[in-house]
Amino acid sequence: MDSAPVYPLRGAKAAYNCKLVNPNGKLVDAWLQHSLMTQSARKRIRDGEEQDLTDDDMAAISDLESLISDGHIHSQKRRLTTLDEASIRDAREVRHSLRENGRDHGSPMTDDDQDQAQQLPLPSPSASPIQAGRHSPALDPVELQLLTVPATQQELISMIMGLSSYLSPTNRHHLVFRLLQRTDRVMLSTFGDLINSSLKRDLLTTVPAEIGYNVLQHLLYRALLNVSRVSRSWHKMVDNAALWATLLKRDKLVKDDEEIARELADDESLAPWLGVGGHNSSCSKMQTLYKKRRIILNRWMDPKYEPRRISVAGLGKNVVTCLQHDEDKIIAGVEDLRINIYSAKTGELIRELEGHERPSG
Amino acid sequence: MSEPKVILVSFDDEKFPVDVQVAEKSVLIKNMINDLNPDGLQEDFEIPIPMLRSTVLAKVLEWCEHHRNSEFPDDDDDDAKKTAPIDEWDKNFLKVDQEMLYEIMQAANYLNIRQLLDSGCKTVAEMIKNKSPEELRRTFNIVNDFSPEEEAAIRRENEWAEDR
Repeated sequence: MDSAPVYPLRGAKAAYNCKLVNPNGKLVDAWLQHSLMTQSARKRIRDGEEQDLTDDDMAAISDLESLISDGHIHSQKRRLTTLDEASIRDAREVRHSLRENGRDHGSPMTDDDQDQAQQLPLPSPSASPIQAGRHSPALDPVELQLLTVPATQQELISMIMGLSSYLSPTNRHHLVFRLLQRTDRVMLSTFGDLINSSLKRDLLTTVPAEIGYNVLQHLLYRALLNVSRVSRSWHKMVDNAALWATLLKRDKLVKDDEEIARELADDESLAPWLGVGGHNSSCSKMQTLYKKRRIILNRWMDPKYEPRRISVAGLGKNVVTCLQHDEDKIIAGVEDLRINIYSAKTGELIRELEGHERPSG
Repeated sequence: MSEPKVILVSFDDEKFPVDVQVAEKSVLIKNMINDLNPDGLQEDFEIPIPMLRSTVLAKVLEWCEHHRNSEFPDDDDDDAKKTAPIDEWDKNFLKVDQEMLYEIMQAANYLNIRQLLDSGCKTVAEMIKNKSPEELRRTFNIVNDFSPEEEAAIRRENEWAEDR
């Protein structure tokens, strides 16, 4: 039978960067740090509604700032003990009416609310105006969150999410780790897939260029041409003379740099290859040279490639003593002192040159 | 008394004590040790590596430890380096998520550990091999930013290489 544990992470130890750190650190410190960071953003959004920070708090913050940044955790008084009952009741009503409002709209918490709840230390942005109107003493946001007893799954999750924003980053990782420990292997596999696929990244153009070229040098030309079709930045990466020069030598299509230089200097011999298989090519001369050499080599290696053979009408028993040809014509010097010019395309005799003499001696 | 160790300190302040021989797989660290200790290492020597988080540093050091006695082909022997298939152990070692692979390659580049970087590059090359452009986009999470015309032009340009 399958003996694999259902909760494979249950006994696992938290890795270095998701260990529980400073378990006795006060939440309020995390909150202050948090609010320091979001303060300017919040001022913009919620102009004039900074009810939760009194002048005293501001002074305390500036004192704390240095302590926090030094890593000392300074314990702040929690106000829960000093609150009068009225203000707690007020806050409860606020939360209660909030919930009622939420129900009226069909959903207890919109996505928007959730987003803000994570960014802002306040439980919900809409709570504040009402609260401000009543002049209730400010509660710290953790307290505000805890005043409500969540009634639905959704509310519980919102609350947990809201509260988890008061954890230090490392401890938030630890929380995720603890949750994963309670997750069975089927779900872990699902998460694993999700995580792995979202970690996919461009490993060619986001790494330093020399690493990217190192990668490309291990590829065959077909793979490289596929790479060039992926995106603009990948295309640019492949369109590189040095890379193709390396490939020419690696694939033994040329002997040395000298041969490459000679070929590149000869525009005419490259020109016909620009159009082979495609149309106006924008790729570099080096790549075209690679293409030329590769196509020729492929023809040699291809058992199905049929070289073209042209037979031309012979001229009796006379022997051809010399031969020259180019793209258009074949010129044959024949023993009976004539020179015949044939079309290279059709094999047709174009001209006969007569009147030559046999070389003396 | 035991040999003095090199203590590498990651970005998140975790300390990794390793043998000199292992640390010297990194040319950067090797030079650092030699430059700062011209008479040889007398006592434990701490080197901060603020570029690397601990998980990555641990992974890189695992590689160095495994290859502590490995002989690698000569640096100048370009052919041997290029054609050598990826080391079987390295292949398994680099079966990690792409973020980790990315960080290991960056680390190998920074610490100047050529053979690890090469193995990383070969691993990426293996991932690229035998894939269509569309499969490549999926593998590396890349958006196709060609216009249809550009795409068609490049396809025509590459037609010569396609299987007949």
